[in-house]
Amino acid sequence: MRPFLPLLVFAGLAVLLALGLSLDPSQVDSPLIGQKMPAFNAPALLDEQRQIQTKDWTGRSSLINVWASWCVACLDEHPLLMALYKSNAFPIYGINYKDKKDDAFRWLNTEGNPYRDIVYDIDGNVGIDWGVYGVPESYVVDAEGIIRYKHVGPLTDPVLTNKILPLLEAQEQQ
Amino acid sequence: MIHQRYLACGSILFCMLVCFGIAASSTVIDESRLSAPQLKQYQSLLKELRCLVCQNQSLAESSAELAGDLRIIVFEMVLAGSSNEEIYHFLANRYSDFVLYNPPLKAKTIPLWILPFVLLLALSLGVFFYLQKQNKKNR
Repeated sequence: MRPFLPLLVFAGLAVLLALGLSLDPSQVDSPLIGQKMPAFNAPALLDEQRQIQTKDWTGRSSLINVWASWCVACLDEHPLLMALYKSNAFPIYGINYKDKKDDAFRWLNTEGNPYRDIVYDIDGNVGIDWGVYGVPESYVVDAEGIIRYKHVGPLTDPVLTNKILPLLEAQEQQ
Repeated sequence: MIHQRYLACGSILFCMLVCFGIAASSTVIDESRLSAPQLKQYQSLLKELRCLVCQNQSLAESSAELAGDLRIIVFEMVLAGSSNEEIYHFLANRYSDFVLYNPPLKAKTIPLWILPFVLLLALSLGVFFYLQKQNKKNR
């Protein structure tokens, strides 16, 4: 037993370090999970005269995506959002974060618009209430407006297939 | 998979450029509007809050855009007379306790605080008993 002690200590350390390496420090746990969406009352990007409130986005399970035209990683996830939009499975809402209107319009015209509605968060205050720190970010929200899941960074196929879609579908059943 | 790694590296590089870039002076925060104790409160708060974009820097150090936005919020709250507690709660409710450099003493974080001391004690005892054994052998 004694000669194996260093080996055991090393093995123990190796396990701890492997666990540590598997964690992702960029994924900060959101305290909003399980809470109602932070309320906002903000202009719609596509119609400045109209104000959007959080209650307008309840009624169905939805995906709320924080994006901007200056955000390079948003381009990466956009095809996935467009595919989800075309499948018509769940509504996608957008929060356009700290963007210029013209740039946002141009971006939507070029890349396509998967959003049922978009909030124009020009100064980022809505983002701060939602704990946004790394655009793009996506939230799964249930029909009552409670946030169920948050993903920081561009959506990927595995995240969509394994985490987000099952969650959205499960809520639809309720 | 590989594409994602390039994206991650690119994002990290971009992040580093942003974080170590020259901090632009903000014209919105006018420190002269704060009283002397408020100024002290404001400056010490900025050192105690973490920038979530550049996670190794405090709000005082980081030149990330979000850090600028949060500095404005801290400034406005200090100006309005909010306590440190109220400002912590405002930010932690949105960004989690990770925004505080000193994690609060909760059930979750007790191991974090205690473990270094426990380890130190365990290792000291281990070394002590080992040396004792060596002594006995050598006699």
